[in-house]
Amino acid sequence: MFLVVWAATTLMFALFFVIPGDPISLKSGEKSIPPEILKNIEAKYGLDQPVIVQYGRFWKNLFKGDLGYSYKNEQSVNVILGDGLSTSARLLFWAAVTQLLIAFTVGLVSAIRRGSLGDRIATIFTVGVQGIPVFVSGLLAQYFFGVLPFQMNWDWLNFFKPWPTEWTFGVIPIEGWRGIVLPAIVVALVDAAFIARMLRSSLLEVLRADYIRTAFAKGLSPRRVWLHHALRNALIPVVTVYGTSIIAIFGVAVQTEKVFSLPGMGSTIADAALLQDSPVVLGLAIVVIAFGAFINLIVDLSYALIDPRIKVENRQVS
Amino acid sequence: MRGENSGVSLSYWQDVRQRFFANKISIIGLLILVILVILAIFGPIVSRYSSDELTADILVGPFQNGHWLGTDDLGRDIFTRVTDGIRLSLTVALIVTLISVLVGVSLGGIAGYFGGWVDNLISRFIDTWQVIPFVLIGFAVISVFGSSFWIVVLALVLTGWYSTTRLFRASVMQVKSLDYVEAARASGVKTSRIILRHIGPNAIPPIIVVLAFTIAGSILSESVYAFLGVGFREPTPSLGVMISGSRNYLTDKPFVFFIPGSVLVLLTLSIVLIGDGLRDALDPKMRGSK
Repeated sequence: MFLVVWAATTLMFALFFVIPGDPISLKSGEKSIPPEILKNIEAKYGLDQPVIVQYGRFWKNLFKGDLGYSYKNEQSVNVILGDGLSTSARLLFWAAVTQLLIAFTVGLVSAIRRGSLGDRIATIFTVGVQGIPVFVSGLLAQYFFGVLPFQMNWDWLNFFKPWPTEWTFGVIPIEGWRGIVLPAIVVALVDAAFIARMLRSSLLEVLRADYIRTAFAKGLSPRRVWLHHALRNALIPVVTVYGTSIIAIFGVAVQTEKVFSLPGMGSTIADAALLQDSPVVLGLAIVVIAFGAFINLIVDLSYALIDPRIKVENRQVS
Repeated sequence: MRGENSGVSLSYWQDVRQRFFANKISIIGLLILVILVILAIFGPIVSRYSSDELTADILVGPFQNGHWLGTDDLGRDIFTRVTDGIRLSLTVALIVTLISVLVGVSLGGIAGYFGGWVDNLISRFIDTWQVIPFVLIGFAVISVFGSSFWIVVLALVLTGWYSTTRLFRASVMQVKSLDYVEAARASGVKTSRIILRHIGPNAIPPIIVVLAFTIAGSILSESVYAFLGVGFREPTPSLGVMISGSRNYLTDKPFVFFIPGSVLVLLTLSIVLIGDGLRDALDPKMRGSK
């Protein structure tokens, strides 16, 4: 896993620093600068050094926990990161809660009541969500739960409220909880639909197994069979896809933060990318990549919890 | 399919066609797509405006002043821009998919057929690539090179190549281990002939499904990049650009958002539905069933 993170980080470094692209014009504002000054600026950021030296210094600083400085305003990337991270972390936390709620309710109900109206609606919903870009669903949510209720004076339906500013326990807003609802649902929806679908097909597969029939035949309550026998076994493939889908959530979060104008990591990276502020993009990208890899590791380890037949040391953790 | 594999494979493809057309939802998808493609082709012929033509009608509603779907904040005809947007989306998506599949077929084919260290190298590279969220790749490419047509294509290929590669690799490995390939090898058939004649055609069905999903995915990614400002930019008539520009008018002139928004959704959704239908139809396990 560390190898993969190292390689991915190096790849990002290469994309930004080896490919021609000049951060200095950002400071000078596209004006032509005298060559001596250009040299001075280059020396200050160490851009006159060979790539390999720059690369070495990049890792040395990284180990010291220093992500570098913005080309634009000299601000430390660590500070920029700290600002965005709290918002993004809260958004992801609530999105994860929403996601699990939606995925398990929809997945379980549509597997248990297979072929029912609810199942059919769920199928249409899960397929439909795949074709709707996140920024479109974000704007739709804003319209139907913000603009429309406002025009109709239905205040109870208006969820388009500012992001809360004060929090207890890190994630619970003191007031203005309505501000979280829409962004969290929008982030959650895509993967929730995907997981619900996986869970449904996985459950239906498991249900054909002999031990499920045995469990029913023993006279166990359906509830017990569903939750203890079927769900646990059906979870294994679902957990696998969850690990890979968690990386894509970043793209979803960027769009959501942009649509709802949240000052999170995603919108910070997007703005920095537009300005070609490479240290900021690279610094934040490393954090995102490391976080994704970390979640993947947890997912891998959790196999053992769900399915004791799998021993952790036998799996290749990557 | 060619003559020499007639018999079995002909009836397989007939069977596939039958099952695909029995699926109502995919037919709806196909119909929507056909309508959108017709709009994309004939839009510029029937429209009296061009997509970047500024008129004096600022933000007029649909069916007013001769603008079928109204105009945007610069007085540009939304119908023309939307049809041009569909054409742009489809063109980009088809080019990206073609390149991604070519890369996927060659890299995945090599990895899957030869195995060993080549496979290891390619697979580890994919593992690495997968850890990077797709928007970051786009950000990197587009922030370094700017945003021309081919740079957007490059960014989209870089985000899409590995899923086709991984899939084709798995598909080739599976077919390779089948008995008839062993038999061909044992009877001394050349490697190139085994790949082209014996493995290739049988590894194709999963590629068709991936094709559909790669097209849908490319359309989505292109619009996402455009929305975030790192893809096509004004005045390019990209659906993502139009939606991005419509955000300020969500309250007063929602049609500026809803028209390109729903066209984008219909476009991707129709392709996803077709892909779903194809997946079910091409799955040999479902053969003979409805």
